[in-house]
Amino acid sequence: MKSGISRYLISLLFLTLLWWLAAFIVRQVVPGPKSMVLSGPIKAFSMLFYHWNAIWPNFLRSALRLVISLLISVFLGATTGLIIGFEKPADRLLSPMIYIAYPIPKIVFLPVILILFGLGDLSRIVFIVLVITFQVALSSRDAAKNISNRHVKAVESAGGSRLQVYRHVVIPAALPAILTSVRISIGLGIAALYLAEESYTNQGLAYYINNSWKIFAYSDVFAGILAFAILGLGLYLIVDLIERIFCKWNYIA
Amino acid sequence: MINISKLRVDFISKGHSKKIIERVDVNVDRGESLVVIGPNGCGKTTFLHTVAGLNDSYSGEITIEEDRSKVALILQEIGLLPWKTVWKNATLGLDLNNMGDKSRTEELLDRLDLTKYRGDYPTQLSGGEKRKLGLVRALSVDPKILLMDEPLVSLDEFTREKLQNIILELWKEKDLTMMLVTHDIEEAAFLGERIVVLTSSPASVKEVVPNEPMGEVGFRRSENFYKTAQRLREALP
Repeated sequence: MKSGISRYLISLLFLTLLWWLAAFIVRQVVPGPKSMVLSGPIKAFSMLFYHWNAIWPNFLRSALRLVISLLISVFLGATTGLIIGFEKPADRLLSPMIYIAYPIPKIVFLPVILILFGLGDLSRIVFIVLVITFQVALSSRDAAKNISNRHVKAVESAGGSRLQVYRHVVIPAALPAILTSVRISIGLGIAALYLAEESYTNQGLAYYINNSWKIFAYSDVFAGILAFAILGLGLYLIVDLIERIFCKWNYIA
Repeated sequence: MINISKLRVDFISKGHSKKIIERVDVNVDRGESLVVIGPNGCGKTTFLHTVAGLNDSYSGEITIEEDRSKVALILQEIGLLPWKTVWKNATLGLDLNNMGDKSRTEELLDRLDLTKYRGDYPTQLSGGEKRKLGLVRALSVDPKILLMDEPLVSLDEFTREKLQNIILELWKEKDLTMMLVTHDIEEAAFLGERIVVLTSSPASVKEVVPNEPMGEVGFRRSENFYKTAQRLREALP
């Protein structure tokens, strides 16, 4: 655990140094007030600290939108993905639909979603779910397709029903792949969240960042970006913890 | 106990039909230990899976005079679930059938020296221990019929003999009806009261070799054991 924390601290230090270096170079090369556009890490961290009271409600709102979207996407994506991967007729019927729908850039639907679901949280959540569910479904489908027949037979020959095969074989076997897809979804989800919070809202980290741009508060922009990083890191750590608890068998050398 | 008549199995793949089992007629009496032996790829596994109810596409008749919940199958690949602990794997059959009493599992684990691995995962076990766990899992549900597909394949000679002795002991003690499929001549001669020799693919019965004097661990060193083994060598294609 200790070594884990020190690894994170070293990474943080290294990234901060790179950032500081980049900001330093920009200040030397770019003339005039433009040089302030890339705020340094010390200023950004102190803004994060001093303006935390202003950032916190935005952080909470963004976190809530993202977590709810992730939960819905994992439920929808994993359920359909596992069924498509494990039941051949479902695969034949639904895989082509996923292949057609997945590559379409979902951002084109954002105006439609805002009109249909209003300007509240619901429309943002629907948009993020639309962006990440396909990806979870595809990963789950592939994981279910690769399930070893001997494990299925072991449960079937011991009198297990189809539902029990899902409970004892399909879900636990696919869980590591599902959690990997959740990790990818966190990154995708934050990008989608940023797009969804850019317009017609008065709360959220993207709103906070955009607002800071408008008033030229560059250090606040980077404080907002740092808050996004904290949100992502927190979610990654939670997924790691879930994996350590539920996929213990995967950690045995 | 188990009556199989005119069993025929064809597999259809990409429009082509392939005959796997030509014709097999076999009866297994209550409490009997029947071994089915045949060369690799002759259709032994398909035969056992069909008897166990894992393959519906066959013609002929399979009658088992026992409730399906009393039939246990040990697969060639064992099929231990890597995400479940040794204990959870051992009690899988009980959990699937909502059978609460786990004392039998406790007793079997203890007897086969697996209690110390209760909380471990199958990947932490040796090949022989995995096979033993497969045996514990199958016997935990108190079956009347035990079907085994190459249950001791890919084990070293020493471990294989040890586990053959355990299977023999459990068969006598638990009054099991056993059907074991193997390609190992000595295993067949040691564990089979009757040994059915199959032809090469597509399988049919070539010969049935009686092996009455078996039943004791010491049989392995007797003259009859060598005679049966020799007869099987001659009968096998």
